Parts: sequence; C-alpha cells; structure tokens
Amino acid sequence: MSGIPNDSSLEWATRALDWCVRRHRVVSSNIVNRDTPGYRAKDVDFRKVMEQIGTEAEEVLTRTDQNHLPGLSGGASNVLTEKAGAEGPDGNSVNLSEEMARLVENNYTYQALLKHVNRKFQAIKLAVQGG
Amino acid sequence: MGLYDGFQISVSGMDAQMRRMRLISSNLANAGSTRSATGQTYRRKEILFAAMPLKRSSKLGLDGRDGLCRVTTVGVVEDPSPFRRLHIPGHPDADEQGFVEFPNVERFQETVNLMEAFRSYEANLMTFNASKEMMKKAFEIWR
Repeated sequence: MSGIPNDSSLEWATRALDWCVRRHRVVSSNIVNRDTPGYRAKDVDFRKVMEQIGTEAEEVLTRTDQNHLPGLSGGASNVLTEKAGAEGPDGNSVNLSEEMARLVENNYTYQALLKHVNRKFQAIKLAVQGG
Repeated sequence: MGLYDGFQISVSGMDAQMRRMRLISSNLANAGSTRSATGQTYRRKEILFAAMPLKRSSKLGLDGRDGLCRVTTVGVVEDPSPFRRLHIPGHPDADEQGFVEFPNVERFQETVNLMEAFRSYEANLMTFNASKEMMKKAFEIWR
C-alpha cells in the first residue's frame, strides 16, 4: 500500500462504512421481523464498535513487517445488543417507526462517509493526474 | 458484500407479507361461505411467521449467530373460535333447528390486518430501496 497517502481518516471512514452496512442489516432484520412473535429488536453497540476499530487501528500501527497487510475487521461478534423496550402481547419488541428512523439516519451517515471517501480519492486523483 | 444480505432479508419480508395478504383476501372473500372443500363452513385462517437466522455468507458482517434473522412462514393455522350462528330456516345449509353456521371471519378485523400487512410490506420495500441506494452509491466511488 506504500505510495498511496497513508491517510488515517480514509482508513477510519472505510471501517465506519463497513459498520454502516452492518447496522443497515441489523435494522433490516428488525423491520422484517416486526410481525414475528417473540422477536426481540437488536441494535449495534457503537461504543464497542469504536473500541474494536481503535484496537484494529493500533494493530495496523504495530505491524512488524511492511509486507503484512492490515487485517480486515473480522471479529464482529459481541457488538449486538437487545434493545430494551416495551414488547407487545406476542413478545415482539420492534417499534416500526423507530426502526424506520434509524434506517434513514444510518443511510445518511453512510452517504456522508462515502462523500468523504470520494473527496479523498478525488484529491489523490488530482495528485496523480497533476491537476 | 454485506448489502446482498440486506436484499435477502427485505425480500423474505415482502414475500411473507404477500402471503399474509393473500390469506387475508381469502378470509374476506369467504366471509359468507357456508361450505368449503371439506363440506364444512369456511374457517378463518392465519399465517405463522418465524425468525430464521441468516447463514454466514462472508467474514465481513454479522450473521445468524449474532441474532440477525430473515423471516419465514412456517404454516397456516385455522382459527378455532366459534362460528357465527344465524337463524335462517330454509337455508340449504341450515340444521334441524334452522340455524346456519357462518364463518368466524370478522370483516373489520381482517381489514385492519390487511392494512397492517401492507404497511409491513411497504417498510420492507423501503429497506430494500435503501440497500439498493447504498449499493449504487458504493459503486460510484472513484467515478
């Protein structure tokens, strides 16, 4: 990867994008199971996610050999939490309007991050093409 | 890519809600059917949903082990509540006392169920479109 500017904000943005996709799937799973008896709504614990991204970033910094590739964020477990909330008579705790709001919110976060990534790439492109 | 799973999840919900709507239509259409294939009065039917854990598709992302689920229909059950009994002597399906058993379908309840199923369908369609948009945007990187 040497040659491409070692930009930590790009690194963070791409990891955060991964998490947006994951969260999108969690919200999708909640929405799809809104009529399933006994289903408990889930959410991503972002504090744990940030801790995980932090340790991954450290791992990247402490690579012992330049030829080692930075590891992909593999261990995604233990970051899902069951959302506390009122459950209906069938034991289902999905609140549809809340989930739709999170879907939209997550989507905009994703777009903002993508915009950032695109700007970074544009800057690199500019540098490569010499203006 | 994790977004493919997003499509799979949303589509399972649209499919399940579509089945539910078909069943509700059947209930509404037969709200006055005093005979069915079994020769008995039509019984109101209901669909059962169950959460189905996602298979591990890639090392990126969460799956069934983390509690991520799509939805599946596990079957159709008949509503055991009693039929409506109306006194109509001379009706071809009347018993000796002149009572006719009509289906246990409540039209208003079914209509409300239909609206709810439709709303769920819409919600899943929205998540599907959101997945699509996200993927489209991702393809536009470095364009």
